[in-house]
Amino acid sequence: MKKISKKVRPVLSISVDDQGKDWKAQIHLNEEPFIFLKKDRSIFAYVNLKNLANGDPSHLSLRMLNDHAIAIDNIAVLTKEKTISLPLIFQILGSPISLVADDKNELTGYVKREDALVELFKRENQNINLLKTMLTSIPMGIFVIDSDQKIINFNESGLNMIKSSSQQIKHASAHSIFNKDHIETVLNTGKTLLNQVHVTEHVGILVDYSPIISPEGKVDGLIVIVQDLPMVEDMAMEIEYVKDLNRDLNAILSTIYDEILVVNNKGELLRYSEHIIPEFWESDLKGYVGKNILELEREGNFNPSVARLVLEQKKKVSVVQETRHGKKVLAVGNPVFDDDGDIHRIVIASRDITETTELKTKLKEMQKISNKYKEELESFKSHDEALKKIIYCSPKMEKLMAQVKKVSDFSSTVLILGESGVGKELIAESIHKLGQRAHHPFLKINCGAIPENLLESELFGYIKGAFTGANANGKTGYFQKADKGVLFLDEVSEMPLQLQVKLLRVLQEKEVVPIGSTSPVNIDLQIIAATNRHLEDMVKQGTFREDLFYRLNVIPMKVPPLRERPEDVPLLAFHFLQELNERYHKDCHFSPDGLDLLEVHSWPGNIRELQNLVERLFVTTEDETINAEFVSRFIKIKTKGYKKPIITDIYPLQEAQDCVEEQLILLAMKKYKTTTKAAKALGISQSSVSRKYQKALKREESAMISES
Amino acid sequence: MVIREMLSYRWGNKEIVTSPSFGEVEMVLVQPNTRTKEFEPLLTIKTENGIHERISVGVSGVIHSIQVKKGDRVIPGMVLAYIKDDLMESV
Repeated sequence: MKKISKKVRPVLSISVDDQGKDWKAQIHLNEEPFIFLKKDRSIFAYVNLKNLANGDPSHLSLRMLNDHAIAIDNIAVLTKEKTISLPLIFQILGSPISLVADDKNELTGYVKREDALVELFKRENQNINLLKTMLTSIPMGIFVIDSDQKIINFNESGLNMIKSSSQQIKHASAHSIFNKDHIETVLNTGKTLLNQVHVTEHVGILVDYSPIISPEGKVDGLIVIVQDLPMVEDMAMEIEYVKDLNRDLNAILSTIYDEILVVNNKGELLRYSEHIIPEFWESDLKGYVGKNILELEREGNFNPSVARLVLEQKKKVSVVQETRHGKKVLAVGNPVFDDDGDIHRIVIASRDITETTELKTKLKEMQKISNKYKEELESFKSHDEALKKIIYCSPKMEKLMAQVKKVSDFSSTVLILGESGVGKELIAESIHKLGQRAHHPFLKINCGAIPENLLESELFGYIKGAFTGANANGKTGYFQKADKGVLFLDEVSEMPLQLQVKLLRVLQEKEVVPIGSTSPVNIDLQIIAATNRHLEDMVKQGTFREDLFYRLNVIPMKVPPLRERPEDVPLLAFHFLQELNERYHKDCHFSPDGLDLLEVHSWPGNIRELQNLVERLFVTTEDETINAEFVSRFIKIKTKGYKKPIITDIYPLQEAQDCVEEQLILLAMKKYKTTTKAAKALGISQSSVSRKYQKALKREESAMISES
Repeated sequence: MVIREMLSYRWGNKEIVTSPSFGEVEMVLVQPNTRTKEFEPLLTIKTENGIHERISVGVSGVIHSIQVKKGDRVIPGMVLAYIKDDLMESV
């Protein structure tokens, strides 16, 4: 600090306590602009005379000095030993003068700022470095902009904040980074602009614009101070979220209404929903924001205005509006009241009810309905499929199937009777498929096929540890498995007596007690039992429980044997042959006389026998046509093995003979249609058949006349 | 008394009954959730010209809601009632 000593100026001090006039004279002598004020013999402040009374000391007063006194507490004090540190440079920069003190800390003089700085910069380069570090150590971005609005200087943190590099920035136009308007206002007015939020796509900063004012009071340039704004980014994120929310809300609203408007208490449009009714507004709704929509009514765009009605009536109003072009809109205006009970806003929700729109919605509804019908039709079809499995054309079967359809609506126990092979199981299946239990299980169990002991566990199930060898987890019985569905008990007559009691209990109480268990389980199922035995006889013999018989015999259904419905034979034979043709890709068919022969057969094995016979014919035939001759090879013997009629009552012989003869003739004629064929089957001559047939017809006729 | 048989606007499965004239609702003759037959009187309006009008509409159905009450001022187009029509019940 030695070199500074040359520039040190002496201290001229005036005591504030001293009321004498000589201080003015002292100032006169002093050429320096600074004088120091003393109190209690120590200097406490200085005064810059240039700021006072235009430098003319004659007008000065002590009071003026006091008013303009600047405390010296903040002024840098330079001593010989003191090294230059950053804060010290700040201090030197901060005030027009710096004090100089000697070793004993006695004030020896002062230096002007210019002199001190000149000396500082002269001395060593490191001081300039110090200045630079000082600038960069400030956690704010600083940009210096000249009067041409070009960036001439900046610091590192500033670059980071605007996410740019020095090459890009240097001598770049300030407009490219900062707000042009702000820069121009500062340059033109010399006023400081603080806390301007500046947000672009990737920059969020808070900017202060501060002018650099030359000593002449001109604006020479400006300093831009930039602060990072992490919360600005957060805010931007939040705005995104609100945008999303708004979009969702709009979507929700547009599903409820076609259009939603908000107007204020003067009828001015404030906002509108994203989705608007097309063709209702004559121009873009954007242009209507801030405008009074009551005007539009006056202009005749649409009529009437719901906003006006709400304003007049101060309550919710619904109106059908019609535009010039015939667009019809149902508008519901809802007032929103403020705290004073006055209308604050009106929310108008509108729905397009123009005919075309209406027709569209109608079409949609019709489509829905037709889809429903389609589904129903499908379900009918599947019903039909269940019935298709049963092939018949005989009135007897038709009657039975009508009964099946009827029964399927109920859950009553059904007892299917019929010879072996007539299709009892098929009937049971169709009862299941046609009924409401179709979607629940259909389980079948053959009571004759399972040993007695097993049958019980199969039907009723058991709990764990019921007996040795039992499954460790127990077993669910058929009854429980078929819950809500149908259980088909085939060959119910074969059920052991012991189990019949248990079954009775199930039927009566609708509950099952698994083997080994004590707690009954409630079940809901329909039981279909089937047998080919004569249960009533079994009851008489004591092999079938009477009470169970009556319990099962709720709805008895007798499936007629095939010989009682010869009409079905060709149909069935054709069906089975067709199945085989399809399976083996062949094209076999029956000749008419072959079918005739099948029809005559008595079919003790019923449909099962027919099915197997057709298969045998199909496999063994060499021709594609299966004729009577071929068929007769398989069933010839059996045709003769007709059942002998059993007479259980005593008739006069002649009468019985006549009766049998007549029945035989009628039957033969019915089957063979021609007297020749009938004669062949009956083993008598054609002429006698003809004669006897005429007689029989006459008898029948006279019987009918006498009846009527 | 003038009988006004109105044409209603259809929206969804509802019919919208609107006022034909300027006036004041004199009497509401039906209740919500009750059944109405075609051309049964729904309400009466005393018009500005002092004519009494009886409003009915060619719709059978259930009154869904009544939008006005006695003494309300009405203008043409203002919704008086919604009727849920029997014809087409959407699925």
